[in-house]
Amino acid sequence: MKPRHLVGIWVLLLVLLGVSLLLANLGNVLLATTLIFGVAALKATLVALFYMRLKWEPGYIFAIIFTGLAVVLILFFTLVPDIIYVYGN
Amino acid sequence: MAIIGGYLAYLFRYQLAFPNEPVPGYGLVGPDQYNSFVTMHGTIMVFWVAMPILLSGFGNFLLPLMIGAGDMAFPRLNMTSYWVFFLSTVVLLLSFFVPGGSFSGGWTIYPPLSASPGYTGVIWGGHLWILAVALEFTSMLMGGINFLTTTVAMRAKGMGLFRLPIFVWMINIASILFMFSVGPLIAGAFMLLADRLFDVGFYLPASGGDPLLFQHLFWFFGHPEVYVLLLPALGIIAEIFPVFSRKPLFGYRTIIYSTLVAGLLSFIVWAHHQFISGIDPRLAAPFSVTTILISVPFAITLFAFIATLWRGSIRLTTSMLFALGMLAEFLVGGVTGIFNGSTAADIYIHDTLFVVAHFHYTLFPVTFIATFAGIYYWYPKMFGRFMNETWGKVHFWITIIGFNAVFLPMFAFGLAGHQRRIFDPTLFDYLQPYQYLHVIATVGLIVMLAGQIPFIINFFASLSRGKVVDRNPWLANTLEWLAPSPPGHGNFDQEPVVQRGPYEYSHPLLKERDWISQGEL
Ligand code: HEM
Ligand SMILES: [Cu+2]
Repeated sequence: MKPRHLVGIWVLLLVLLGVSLLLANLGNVLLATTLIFGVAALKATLVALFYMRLKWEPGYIFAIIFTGLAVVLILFFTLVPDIIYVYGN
Repeated sequence: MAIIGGYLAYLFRYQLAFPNEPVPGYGLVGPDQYNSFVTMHGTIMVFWVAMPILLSGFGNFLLPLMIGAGDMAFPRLNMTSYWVFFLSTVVLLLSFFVPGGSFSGGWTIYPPLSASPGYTGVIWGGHLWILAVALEFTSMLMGGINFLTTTVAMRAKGMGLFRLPIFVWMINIASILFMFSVGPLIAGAFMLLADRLFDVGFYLPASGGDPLLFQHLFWFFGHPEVYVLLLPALGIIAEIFPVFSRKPLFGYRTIIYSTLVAGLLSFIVWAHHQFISGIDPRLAAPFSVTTILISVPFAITLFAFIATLWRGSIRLTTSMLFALGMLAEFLVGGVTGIFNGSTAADIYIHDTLFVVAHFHYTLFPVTFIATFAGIYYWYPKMFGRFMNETWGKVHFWITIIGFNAVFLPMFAFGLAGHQRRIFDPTLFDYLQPYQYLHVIATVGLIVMLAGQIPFIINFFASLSRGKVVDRNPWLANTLEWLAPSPPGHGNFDQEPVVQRGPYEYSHPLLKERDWISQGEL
């Protein structure tokens, strides 16, 4: 990866930052939140792939990442019924 | 640390049997001290004795030897991890000497008790507890990464994944479990620290927080952690059984698969620790089911061990005795776990001495009995000499008898309604008729602690007086027995090339002897 490309990614990240700032002005709050989180996920992916060089790592790195994510999701979604139980509807 | 943990147990055990009498060798134990000793006993035994001995100690010594590697993949990371661990120990021990004393809200540091120093009067002790545990986990993570990398990258030629000794598998699965469970706890502990220092209110109901959240974060880690301790112990006895029954390990692959399944399941059972904490009752049923389900893969493993012993020509060396002892005692722990796992029964026995008895019947065999088995077995590899077998057997019988004397009465006591974490049981009339059980348990403990003296003497005396042995005194297959005893720098004289699986005993084609080394042509 040439430095030029890395700068390019950086510019892209800045543009995406601008996009999410603009999205904040959207009338529909739910839509805005969803889109902002989507853009943030995109940015995180770009950073991980290019700056953390995961794009050039062997496949099992992704297996590790996804296992971690799966475990977090288990924790998160099992807590939901409990939170609903404690705090009502 | 094991001695400190045991000493603390002695202090509060004595107080339970003879309330408000000065403990010989210490003095009077007050209620605050009692709480703090119980807390630190649990903390030390789980995080500063079991984990470092089983994972780091045995893992660092055996894992490279067993896969035919010269060293760990990252020797410097290993040193760092050791020093971070050392630092964590210093921080933990310091907490005994700060004003207010060491933390005293139980080793699970549940809020709200732990979230505000105001509740227990412990200020610095609590902060230091959190810091020490965070450091300790960091160190263990470094170690775990090292184990995984070493196993992936440094196996000797021919050492396929299904030729790895079970111990190596167990260490790796344990490291993975630790890696994926520790994050929420460290985060949760720092949130707790923020509550203590700045009253942020993650967990304090008064500040809008929810103490239950901490329980979820703690046990999401805490339950897999139990397996982090258990798996290396099972690995140790899995190495010992085939050698001293001269039979191949029964169901090698089945053990690996069922351990993986148990590992996965361990992430969805944690709320069985919260059946009576006021969680959603609809959550209790699935957690009850998964908890009881998890006993299936472990039952498979234990049956595989028993099948290994079946009709073997068993040699009752000291290490074999300890390995059998581990299996037997752990079985008691496992079976009583089913009671705790079913919601209905747990509502009655929760937080009684029944639970204390249950988890000691699992943790003590794991932490100490398996460790002793491993020490007697690998001592010749570590030092090139045998330990004395007669004294070893004396040590075994005192330990086993003492251990059962301490904890067997607690099942009965718990069913009689004795709550745990009680300072003075004589204050409750309905417990009076059973007070003698506390006396039995305490006498049992003193006998058991005294029984460790022959072991310590034996261990050090054998360094210079033990019978000198060659490389493979037990006639075992795995690679570590190909290396010189003690292994020098780089472990092996020449790089081993692996030809076959680790447990080839009693092979029909073998004529003169009943074993063939993994590295032999
Ligand atoms: C040396 C033999 C041991 C004895 C006599 C002993 C005794 C006890 C007793 C009587 C309690 C309950 C105190 C109370 O609730 O008031 C206790 C708690 C506990 N023990 Fe042990 N124990 C021993 C070894 C171990 C080992 C090897 C481990 C773990 C690896 C362990 C972990 C714990 C834990 C986690 C608690 C709960 C602490 C708490 O409630 O905060 N113990 N022990
Ligand atoms: Cu559990």
